[in-house]
Amino acid sequence: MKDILNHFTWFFDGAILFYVILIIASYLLLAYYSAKALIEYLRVSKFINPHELMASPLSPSVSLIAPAYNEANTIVENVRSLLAIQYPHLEVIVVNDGSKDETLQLLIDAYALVPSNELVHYQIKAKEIKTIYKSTKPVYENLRVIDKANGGKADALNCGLNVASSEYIACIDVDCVLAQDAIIKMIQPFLSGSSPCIATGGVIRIANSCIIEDGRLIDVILPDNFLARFQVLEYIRAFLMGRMGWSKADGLLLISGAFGIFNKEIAIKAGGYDHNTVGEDMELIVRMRRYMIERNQKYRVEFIPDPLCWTEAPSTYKVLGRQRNRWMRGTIETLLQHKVMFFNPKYKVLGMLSYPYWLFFEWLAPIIEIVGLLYFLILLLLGQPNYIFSLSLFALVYAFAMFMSTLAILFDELTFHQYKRKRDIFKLLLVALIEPFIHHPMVVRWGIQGNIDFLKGKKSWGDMTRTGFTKKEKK
Amino acid sequence: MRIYIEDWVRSFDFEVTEGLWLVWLSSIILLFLAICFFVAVVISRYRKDYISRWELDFNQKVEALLLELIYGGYLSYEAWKSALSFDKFEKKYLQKARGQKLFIQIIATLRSRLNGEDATRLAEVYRKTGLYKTSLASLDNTSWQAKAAGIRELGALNYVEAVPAITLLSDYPHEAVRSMAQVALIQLDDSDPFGFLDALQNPISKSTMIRLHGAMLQKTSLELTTFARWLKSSHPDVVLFAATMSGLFNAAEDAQLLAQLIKHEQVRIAKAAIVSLEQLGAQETLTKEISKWNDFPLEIQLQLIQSLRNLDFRDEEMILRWLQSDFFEIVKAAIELYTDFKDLDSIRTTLNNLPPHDNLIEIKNQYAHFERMHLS
Repeated sequence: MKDILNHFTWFFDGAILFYVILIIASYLLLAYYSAKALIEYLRVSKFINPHELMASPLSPSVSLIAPAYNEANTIVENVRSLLAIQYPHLEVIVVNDGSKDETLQLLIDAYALVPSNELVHYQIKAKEIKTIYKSTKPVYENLRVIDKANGGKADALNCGLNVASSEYIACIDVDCVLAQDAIIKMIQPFLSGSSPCIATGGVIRIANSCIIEDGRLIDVILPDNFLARFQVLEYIRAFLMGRMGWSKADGLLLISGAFGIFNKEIAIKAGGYDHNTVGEDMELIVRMRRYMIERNQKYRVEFIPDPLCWTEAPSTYKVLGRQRNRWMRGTIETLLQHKVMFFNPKYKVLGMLSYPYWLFFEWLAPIIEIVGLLYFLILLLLGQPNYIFSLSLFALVYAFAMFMSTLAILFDELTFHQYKRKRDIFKLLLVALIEPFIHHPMVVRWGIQGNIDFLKGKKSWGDMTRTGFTKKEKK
Repeated sequence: MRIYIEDWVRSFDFEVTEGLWLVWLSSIILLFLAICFFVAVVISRYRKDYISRWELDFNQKVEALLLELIYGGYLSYEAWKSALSFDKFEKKYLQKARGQKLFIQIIATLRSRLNGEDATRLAEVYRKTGLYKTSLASLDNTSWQAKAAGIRELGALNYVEAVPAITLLSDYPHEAVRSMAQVALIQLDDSDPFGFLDALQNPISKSTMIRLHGAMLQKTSLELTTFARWLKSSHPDVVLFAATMSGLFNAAEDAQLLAQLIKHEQVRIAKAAIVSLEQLGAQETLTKEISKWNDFPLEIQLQLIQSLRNLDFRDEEMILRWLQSDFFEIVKAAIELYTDFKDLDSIRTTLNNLPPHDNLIEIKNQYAHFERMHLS
């Protein structure tokens, strides 16, 4: 019996060590690719003059689609912020997804909207549009508000896709604050490069405690709330190191639903957003990429590291838990839907690297962590714990977490330098020091819950309560 | 140190395997690197502060010097130079690469906002300080960004002698270098600003086209009456560029060639030709193309309807034909065109009189829906 147990522990220790080495190696590789991509991006950016695009009649048109559901508290201001975005040929489409509150009426009153007789080509399945509104005021001539029956975010986006008249569509969360030059920067990859770009994703940053005035970001401040601070660090790591690296390696599988630009034709041909998943943003990108690969068409998906989109992060564990639970379910649904890609050389980097990475290090990571913890507890009960091995492994993982977090802070400092107050840097370091003990266990817990809820067949989004941005006090 | 650690660990009575030693070593290295990164962040923060202070001081000094140059009423560069002790400034700031680059950047930006004699004076500073040599030297640099920056400076500060050197880079493999060179040639080469298009092998991206168009608009001395030479090019991107510019610069002479391009195998070129013909107001030419309607792909058909709509096309017979199309997009575009000169009731009557068709039924349903919604 003891021999069997010894063999089992030997095997299990080895498996855990192998998993840790693999995850560390992949993160290091991603960090390397990210660094290369960031340097390249910053170099190329020096030769891009946004004024040229602004002044040119040749700049392509973009339809900005913003789904809104029960956003009465902020909708008028949010739409004003969208209308203020600098871009010469911009159409703003707000989709009221059957809100139960005053969202639509507030928009009608604020922007002098009247029904129009615009015909719609339903290229993608979406719930019927009740009315399309346009403004009677010339200053809002690029605004259209669609009123439709409630069908969820994916359905609202598909509806916007059917109505959009531009070559490119920018899908955003209506409560996000976009930088004034967000579209100018995000559209650049579509205008250059050797192969056609089908989608670009932008960095999402945390706006809690930042000063927002008239829908514009005035000052970037590190959040007061510790939970939001953890997310600041998470987002810097995920976007500047993860997605940037995947983009360079041509393996990006996710463009955040909060802000992305797509080639409308390809998005429609690929079938638009999927109504049956809560991870519709990831699923669309995977499907668009599969569409191109399966037709042997050259294409690119790019990622723009500039901090262009600012969002309010959940500031309570309850709301954050719901969000992470949904993200996990979305990941599982997407991965299962596209399981044909798993280690399939036909899909190149996507099949051989991205998909396995998402499977083992995103979907299964919390499960593996919990299994490791249970294994340690079992050994403890049996009186055979390998303290030294366990502690050493823990020290390695902690050291690596610190390494990645400080590297991410360094990347941000050397590139976009967002947190200008010196004390913010020290606060971020403190966050990096305690994150593995306080925040990470919660993330694992929500990941496990996401897996359980997926097995139970849960499909809901869960309420996302927001407290609102910090506004500049008027003197 | 290893022996010391091993001895210390042995006191806990367990075996230190090679694997365990590797895990410890990795952890220590990672922690050490984490500390280094953090120190680098702090150093970078102070370095940034220092550089921004230096640049502020530099900018203020340059601004004062250049304002005197432009508005000080000095008769010559030499008079200005000696009056303001420019030699001292040169010695202190323009010996190092950072000062040179920043100084060139400031005068180039300022020159782009000025014209006439003021702009010439700034270009003179660039020549007489010998800073153009820095830019010229960049063209031979192996890094693409140094090349692109050098070309941009030479173009922005009107150093026409650099045209032969820049021409050699106008088909450079890296897009940024190529694009900067092409823009600079439009800025500097008065005799044949588009000559580079003849030998171009690499693509012209949309972004470069926007940039070239911007440079063409800024160059007031440019007389553009035709792009015929490039409309016949074998390079599709050159044809696309020429077709687009013909419309934007009202090159009426090109109408015939543009009409021929509507049959081009590349849809993007055919569409650009239609748009340019619309910009030239060539309704007759476009109307003639309708006779070949069935030869065109859907995208071209839609572009034709759109362009004709912008030219106040009113041929009801043709619109009725389009309304019976199998493509919903065509029917929709035709109705949109129809609404420009017919009211909704007349359109409804027309739709009711047409033979039933899936697309028409869908449109009638949508109209009925509008009515219900508006009434409600």
